[in-house]
Amino acid sequence: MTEERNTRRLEEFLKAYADGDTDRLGAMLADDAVWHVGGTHPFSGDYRGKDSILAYFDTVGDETGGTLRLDPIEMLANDRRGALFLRVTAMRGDRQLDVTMAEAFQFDQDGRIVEFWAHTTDQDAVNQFWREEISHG
Amino acid sequence: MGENSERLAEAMGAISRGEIERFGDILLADDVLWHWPGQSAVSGDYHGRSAALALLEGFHTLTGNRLQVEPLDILEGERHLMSFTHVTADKEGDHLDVIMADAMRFGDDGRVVEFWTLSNDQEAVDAFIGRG
Repeated sequence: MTEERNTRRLEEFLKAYADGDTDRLGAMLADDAVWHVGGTHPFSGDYRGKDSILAYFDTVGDETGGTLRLDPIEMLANDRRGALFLRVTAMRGDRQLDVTMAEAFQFDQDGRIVEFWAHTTDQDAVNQFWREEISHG
Repeated sequence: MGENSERLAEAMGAISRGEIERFGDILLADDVLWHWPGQSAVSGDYHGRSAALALLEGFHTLTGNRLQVEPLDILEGERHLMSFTHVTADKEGDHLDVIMADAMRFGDDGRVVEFWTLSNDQEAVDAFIGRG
């Protein structure tokens, strides 16, 4: 039962992310959640706390002009943890991103995400895509 | 337990006996692609089984027998698997305490074609392995 519930939570998370729905995303994150973003680009690092994570989502959404898409390949979960394998595509100015990610989620007892970490098929491509800010004409 | 979890368990048994070649034969496709994140001496992408095994040997040399690995969860789907472990270690006053998530994609013959080594504290893992 909890497996289905947390798999459904991952689906809902992706849907809310696609809709850019901060309220729904916020409701799925624990207040003290930690979001680890790998790589060596300006957005790499640890985002601590729900507000900080939501601000990060907003920033990358703005930077990509709403083109960032997360297409799940496979979603797995039990009552404590989840795994998401997905294709990430986005445009940023004339830069294009198209990579696969493996993402790990940890849930609290209420089914909210408390920790997230991930790695990609192509870290260099991700670093290049997010390297220094570009102007938005 | 699904077929892929069984294969992983068999491969982990081999590695715990120091049989790295056997681990590769059981689990890894010839053309496996292994992604190791971070900024340590072993970070990068490894193409092919022998490169992947060289990565593991390098990792084991650098970390010695100091790692304690406690299995937490295995999530298994049709094509993918994620294995969560609690990894702790001590080295010269440096204490490592992380959750690792080994992510795998399986090919048609049931062996791993792509492997990602995920950690919830990559800087700590990098520091423990040492910089390249």
